[in-house]
Amino acid sequence: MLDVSWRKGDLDEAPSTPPATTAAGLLPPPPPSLLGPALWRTRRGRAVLWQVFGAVVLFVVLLVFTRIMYGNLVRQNLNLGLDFLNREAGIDIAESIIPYAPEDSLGWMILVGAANTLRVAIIACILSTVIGVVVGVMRVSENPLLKLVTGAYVNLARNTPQLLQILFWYTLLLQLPVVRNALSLGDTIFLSQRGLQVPALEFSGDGTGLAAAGAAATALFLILAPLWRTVFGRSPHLVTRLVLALIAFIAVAIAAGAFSLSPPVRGTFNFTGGMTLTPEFVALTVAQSLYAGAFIAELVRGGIEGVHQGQREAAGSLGLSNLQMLRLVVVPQALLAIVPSVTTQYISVIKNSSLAIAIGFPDFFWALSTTINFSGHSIEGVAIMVGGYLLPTLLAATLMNRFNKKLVERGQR
Amino acid sequence: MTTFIQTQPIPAQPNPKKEELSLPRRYGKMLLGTPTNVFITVGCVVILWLVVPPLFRWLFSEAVWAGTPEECRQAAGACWPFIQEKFRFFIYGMYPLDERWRATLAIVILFGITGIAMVPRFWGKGLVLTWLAAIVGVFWLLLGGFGLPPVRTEMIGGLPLTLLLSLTVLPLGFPVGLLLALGRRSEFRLFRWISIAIIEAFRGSPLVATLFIASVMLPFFLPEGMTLPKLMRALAAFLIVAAAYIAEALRGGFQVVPEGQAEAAFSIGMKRWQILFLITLPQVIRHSIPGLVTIVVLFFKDTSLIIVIGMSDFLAAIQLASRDPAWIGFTVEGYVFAAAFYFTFCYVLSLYALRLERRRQNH
Repeated sequence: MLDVSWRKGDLDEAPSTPPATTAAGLLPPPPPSLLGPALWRTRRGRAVLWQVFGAVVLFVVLLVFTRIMYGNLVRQNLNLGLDFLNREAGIDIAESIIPYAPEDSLGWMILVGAANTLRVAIIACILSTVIGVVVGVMRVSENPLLKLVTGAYVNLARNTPQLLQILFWYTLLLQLPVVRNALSLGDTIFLSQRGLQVPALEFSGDGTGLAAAGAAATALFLILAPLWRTVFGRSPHLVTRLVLALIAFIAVAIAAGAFSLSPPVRGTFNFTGGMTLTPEFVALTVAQSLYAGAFIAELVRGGIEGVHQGQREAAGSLGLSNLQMLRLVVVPQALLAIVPSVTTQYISVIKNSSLAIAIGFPDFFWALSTTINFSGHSIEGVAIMVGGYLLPTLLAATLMNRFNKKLVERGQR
Repeated sequence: MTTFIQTQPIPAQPNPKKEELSLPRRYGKMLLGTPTNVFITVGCVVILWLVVPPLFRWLFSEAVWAGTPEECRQAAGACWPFIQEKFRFFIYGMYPLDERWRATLAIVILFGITGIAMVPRFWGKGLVLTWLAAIVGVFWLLLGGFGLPPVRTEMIGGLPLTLLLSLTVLPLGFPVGLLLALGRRSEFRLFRWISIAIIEAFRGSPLVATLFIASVMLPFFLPEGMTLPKLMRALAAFLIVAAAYIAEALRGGFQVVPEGQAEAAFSIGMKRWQILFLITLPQVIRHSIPGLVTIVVLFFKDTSLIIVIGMSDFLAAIQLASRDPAWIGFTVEGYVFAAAFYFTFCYVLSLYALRLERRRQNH
């Protein structure tokens, strides 16, 4: 914007006063300098000077802070290093999806926390996408009642703090009946004070069943293409092939007994069998999904409304039905517009899962703050924390740049 | 061979009539026009039927409006005496009893200045100065000193803390954010890189983590013997994060102002800082105001996160109050009250941002 350079002789200041005229006529021009114009008189020279100045200031600031920090570290007898990660954690974690015992190292505990964060984030991303797309499409409906209901949800979820929502759901879950009187859905899924009890898929047998299922799925995936062509005369879509292969895998695996379903059985004080989703996990996942879902719904609505009215009219005049118009004309264009913002939402879900600390869910942030409190290695711990949270952000930024480039190549933006 | 040539001119047709329905019939068509719409309407009615009457009963008809905790426990509905009893604590937190008028005054000033700032007619240099004066005044009122009895920063809690952290963040973070935004579009590579690193780092890491880092790490970077109260550490964290968000909001504004304007200003001999402050910035700010309001909403909601570093704002005060043994078990009421409060403030601001956005597009 300010890139206006004085092109004549690279001098950016025009002579302010006209050369004085004397009786003898014009003064002779100043003698040309051997070194060219002085460094601070040219634009480029000043750029160099500014950057050198900035670099020196930055260097001095960093130096001062490093010295202060070093002095503080020496006084507190702390030394930098990642050895503390090998120390025994000694803390029990209520839930983890990878094996963990209090005897494991602090480093492993941080990994357990990261896995928990990812578990919440992935489930919340999927749920919030479903909620967001469904509600977003509903928001553009012309039915006033539907607009009222979805609008109430979206505005309520967007305009209250997420921490409040997490605490609210957590408190509600803890006020549910005890196990003996748990709410149940067909005696297979239970909701009680202890969280959500769902049937678990348990791995049984020695793996032959699983191998057989894998082989069957691969075989089907490979022979499906030629088979499909001979029957229907065209190649099947990749998604069709994948879905059919997945169905084959599940069918063979169940038939061969590789998995067994373990339903929860209600006891007096606790359940036996099945899988427990703790109240902390359920509250966090529900709150995250509803919160992010509301934001995604607004993005979806904006994307749909952003598609030009003429496109709809054109689709209508071609005789497309409402659903066809949505599927073939509106959604593809809306999708392009909202993908970057939705990615930002996914990143926020990962970031916001750090609020789990308020209800004591052992996530990445909890693991690191506990580690820092235990070992006192705050500088290293904070470095791991920042690195861990910036990783998905940078990854998403890279993917989005690639996605945008692809769009530009295809001439869609 | 037959030909089809129009020899007679076709008379002009009247405009296609716009379908005009009376209000009830229009709504009838919208609600029950097509089978899909009938289905949707029935579904919505069922949802509303399931949600609204129990909610109404809990909130109003079966709720206890005045009484003791015992009466509350026997009732099926909400317990509003809890809110009445603890209302002062929600608002003032641990603030000393005798000095509460100062907190009240601070709340009034902060709400007042926000209200004034929302009126476009007042936008100008005077508002910036008033705002800065208000912030200085509020800090003076809350912390004391200079004639007022001093109050320890740990005592500041409840609503004043929420307002202090969320409403001062925008004016205080703005200069830093502007610097970062300018750095990001600077022609000097070094400045550009530093700005991008700061913006992305603070936007990329969770606010909770930033607050935690500020409370854990800042002491390491202070010279020996110097300490910073928790409130200031939290404020520093909020400030830099807000600056990163503000820089991002301003970036969009900078992209909108055409380059020709700066070139024109340059050609009539204006200095760079004159161009920035007289030509570019006013337009940039005008364009970024909806984004800036969104940042205020974001921070108003996220101030509640300081609970993580052990400070008690409005939401934390509610949590603390519900641990009172006499009034145990009414946490949900507290949260509903908090939700109503946050919702009112944020929804009004969101609507305001939306209106500004529309106004800008119509321009």
